[in-house]
Amino acid sequence: MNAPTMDTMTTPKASPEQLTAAFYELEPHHHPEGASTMLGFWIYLMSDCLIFAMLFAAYGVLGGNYAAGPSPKDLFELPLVAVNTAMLLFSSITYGFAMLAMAKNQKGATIGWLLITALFGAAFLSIELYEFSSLIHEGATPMRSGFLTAFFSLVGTHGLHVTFGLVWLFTLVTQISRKGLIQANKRRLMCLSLFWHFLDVIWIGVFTFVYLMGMLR
Amino acid sequence: MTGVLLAVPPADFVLHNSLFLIAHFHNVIIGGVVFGTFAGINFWWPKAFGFKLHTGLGKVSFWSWVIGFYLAFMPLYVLGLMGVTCRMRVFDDPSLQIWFIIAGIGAALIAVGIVAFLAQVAYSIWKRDELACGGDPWDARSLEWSTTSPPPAYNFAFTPVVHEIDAWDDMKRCGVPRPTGNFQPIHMPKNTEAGIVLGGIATVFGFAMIWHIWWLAGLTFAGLIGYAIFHTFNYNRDYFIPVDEVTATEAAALGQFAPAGA
Amino acid sequence: MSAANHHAANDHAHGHDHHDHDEHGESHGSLRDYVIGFVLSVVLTAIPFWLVMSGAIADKQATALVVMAFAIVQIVVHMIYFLHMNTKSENGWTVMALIFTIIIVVIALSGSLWVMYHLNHNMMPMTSHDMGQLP
Repeated sequence: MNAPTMDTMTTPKASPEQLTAAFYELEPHHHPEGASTMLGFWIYLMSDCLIFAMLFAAYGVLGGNYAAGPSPKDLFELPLVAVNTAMLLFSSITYGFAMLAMAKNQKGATIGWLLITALFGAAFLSIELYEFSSLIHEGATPMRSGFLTAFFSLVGTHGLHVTFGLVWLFTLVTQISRKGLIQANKRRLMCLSLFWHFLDVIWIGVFTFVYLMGMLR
Repeated sequence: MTGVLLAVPPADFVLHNSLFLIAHFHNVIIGGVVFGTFAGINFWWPKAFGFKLHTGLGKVSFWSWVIGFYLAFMPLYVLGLMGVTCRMRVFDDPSLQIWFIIAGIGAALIAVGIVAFLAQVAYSIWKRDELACGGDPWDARSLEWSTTSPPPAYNFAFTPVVHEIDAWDDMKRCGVPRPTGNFQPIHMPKNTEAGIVLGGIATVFGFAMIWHIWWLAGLTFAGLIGYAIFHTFNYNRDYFIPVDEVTATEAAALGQFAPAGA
Repeated sequence: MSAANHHAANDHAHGHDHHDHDEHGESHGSLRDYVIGFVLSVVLTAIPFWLVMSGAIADKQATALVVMAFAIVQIVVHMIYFLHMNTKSENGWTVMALIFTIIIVVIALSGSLWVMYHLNHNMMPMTSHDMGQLP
């Protein structure tokens, strides 16, 4: 970009006003509030993706280190995992319905679908907690082997994300019922939408690499 | 970078816990980070506070640090390779004593450098009226020097358009006049105490986790989540700087660039 | 041509660029999108579960590969139908960020597995079987 600048210097025609206009954005700019939030939130999700990538890598490295303890085949119950997956998938589509209701400015329907989503999310968490507690009762604690440390870290981190997603969801329900579907609340709903569906994407990785491929080991 | 050297197992086995490691670590951190920090403080101090740091004391600090740095740490390479381990009160080999003495002199010089830096800051704050400067005290090249020192809350009344790497230098060479009128109200985020509060609670939470003070950890964790949620109920987060204020600020700013313009 | 005018023209175009997309340009997806995404996800989830639970493919390695392929397809389905990814949103920056992330994830995953596999192979003998292999 050197050439045009030299040009500017030597061109006799460029008046001071033209120079100022060339080097400053003089036209009034309208930056709607929160216009950059969605991209920012997407980049946060991408960084979150890296956290999960590291946990998957740890599981990939340690997943076979049973330390003479139980292996995936001894522990996992695929029907339970399938029910769990269904819960998360249902919550994904009900969240989609909430977004559609939001687009039509239907406050009641939005809140209704959000609460149904929360119900499925809570069901997912309950099943996961039941699975964890039965594993721990069987002596398959995170301290038992490298495999179980990596397993609890990865699946537990996903569960924690879902937990905070639920906290976020209930906060939003409160805010929507108080303030209605104002622009700020719509933006928040869209962020939570990305977050919620993103967790479903991570779960695809979990049930494939941890549960299904664990049964194949 | 010390880590890179010691990531090679054969080197690690030889150098681990020796003064070579100490020498290399300080070589990298002082040369790479500390000197850069000092350079940054001296360079940007006038931009942040509107007055320069005293030059003479800065030079004393610089030469004491640079000479002291080499005197203090180069001998440690030699000592480390001769087998001296770190954190020893005495080392019973008189033939190596001379290196310890050189390093000691270097450490003393570094102490002089530290004192000179602190004196530089204190003296400059005391004499801040004499050291006061305009927006562009260094005839610099990048855009932060095109605002006043210290900059206004909104930084730029109009966003500068960058045509080449050294944008401010480019603008000065082209003789671009500063915009003097038609200012717009500027949309700004409001100040919020949320960052400080969350940071404070998180510090206590971290402390409680490290020392296994579970009741405190639970309390502060709940506090963190609760405060973050509370903060989201604040929808009133932005304001506009009125045109009058922008115009007045920019008119005053012209004084900081009066002799420039060419 | 005056370069200053040229700059001004550029600036102008740039300004318009900004005005073109605002929040309302965000895609919310349609009912059709969500239903297609949901049905595809159910199918793409059910098949790998069935493959593993029934052992329909005798070869475990082949099953694993098929299951992985289904996972990748389903991730793409979610990205398109639930996360409404497209190359145009935010002037392409979302896709840019995604591609960057995928590159990092692939390097981190394959690098970790590769390095640790070789370490396990070449470093300390971990089992009595390995001990027996020592010269």
